[in-house]
Amino acid sequence: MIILPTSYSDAHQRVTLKFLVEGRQALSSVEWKTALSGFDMLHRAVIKTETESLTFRELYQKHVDSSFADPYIAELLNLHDVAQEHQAVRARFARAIVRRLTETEFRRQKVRETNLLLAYCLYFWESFAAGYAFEVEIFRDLSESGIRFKAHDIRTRRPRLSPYDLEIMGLRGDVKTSFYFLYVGRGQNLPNDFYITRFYEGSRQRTLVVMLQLAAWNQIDGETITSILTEATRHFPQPALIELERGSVVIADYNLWKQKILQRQREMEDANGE
Amino acid sequence: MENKRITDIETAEFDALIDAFIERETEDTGELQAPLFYETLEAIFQNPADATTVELQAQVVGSELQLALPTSTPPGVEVHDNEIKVNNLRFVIHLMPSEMV
Repeated sequence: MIILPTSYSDAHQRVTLKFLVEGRQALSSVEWKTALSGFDMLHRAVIKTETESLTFRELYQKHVDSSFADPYIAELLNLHDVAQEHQAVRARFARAIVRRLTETEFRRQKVRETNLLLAYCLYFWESFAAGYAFEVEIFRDLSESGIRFKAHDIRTRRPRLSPYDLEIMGLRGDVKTSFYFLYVGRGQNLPNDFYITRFYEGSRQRTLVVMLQLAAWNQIDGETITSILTEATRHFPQPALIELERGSVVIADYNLWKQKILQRQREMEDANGE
Repeated sequence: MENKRITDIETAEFDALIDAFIERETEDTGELQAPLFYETLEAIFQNPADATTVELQAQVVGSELQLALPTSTPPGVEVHDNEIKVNNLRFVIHLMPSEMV
């Protein structure tokens, strides 16, 4: 038996179904707000079997995260080309999760409410899997570019949950898919000094950017051009200074940001006589 | 699928749908299109909206509350007898005898 929170409505179900059938790109920002609030509510949904009673969040932790997260990360770290090869690994793990849930008493044929459990688990798994594939890809690229940085250990759960992903020249940063910012959009702050992210411009071109708090950019130093947000990338390779209601950010091309970091690190090495 | 809920779908049909979802989703890298990304960033850096206060007048008629709106109200707010409607949310207020509260 599944007990859904009373606030979980048909509207949440319909927009989640649209996401499952048509994909991420099909949802508008308003639809995403509904879908995300629905997934948040499902954390508190309860599934009762003859032997136990668990919230969806507890079930995910116990039967998905604790079994699949570490092995998935281990496989990612063993891939030669993460960007090209991670999709097949993600698909294999997602199918293994479906099988695991189907083999347990949680996924009952004929009990259509268990469809929601499957949707919930796969949504959170895919967000996790895509996020860490991107993180591994960036960590490797930074290493290959010769940048000195300290990254959190993603191989096990506790250090994975650190408040920031990496530290460069004393600045704290995160590597996040652009999808992550939809969550933050709901009233939270961006606490770290910089965010490495990526989004689509047009249907194919993926643009890698670094978004920095103004104080963090000033530490790296460099000229900017004042821009409105929607035109930030048009000025690339020149970084764009964007003035927003609650403060200013600099949006820089990822490769240019790497060059500036390398330059500053070399200057610091020279100054220290290393 | 239009207007269907997830719980309207037979589990076998849903399993097939989930399989197609996995195939498509794993090709996706979790990125937003630029317009949605910009809109999201803009929202993050916006000041929180000020709370709006609407003062209602109320009187007890028989055993129910009768509410009235002031002449000027924000859009989307309606009041009918003991009901308050704010966009899609409807509040119905029932007075209870004090010993039941």
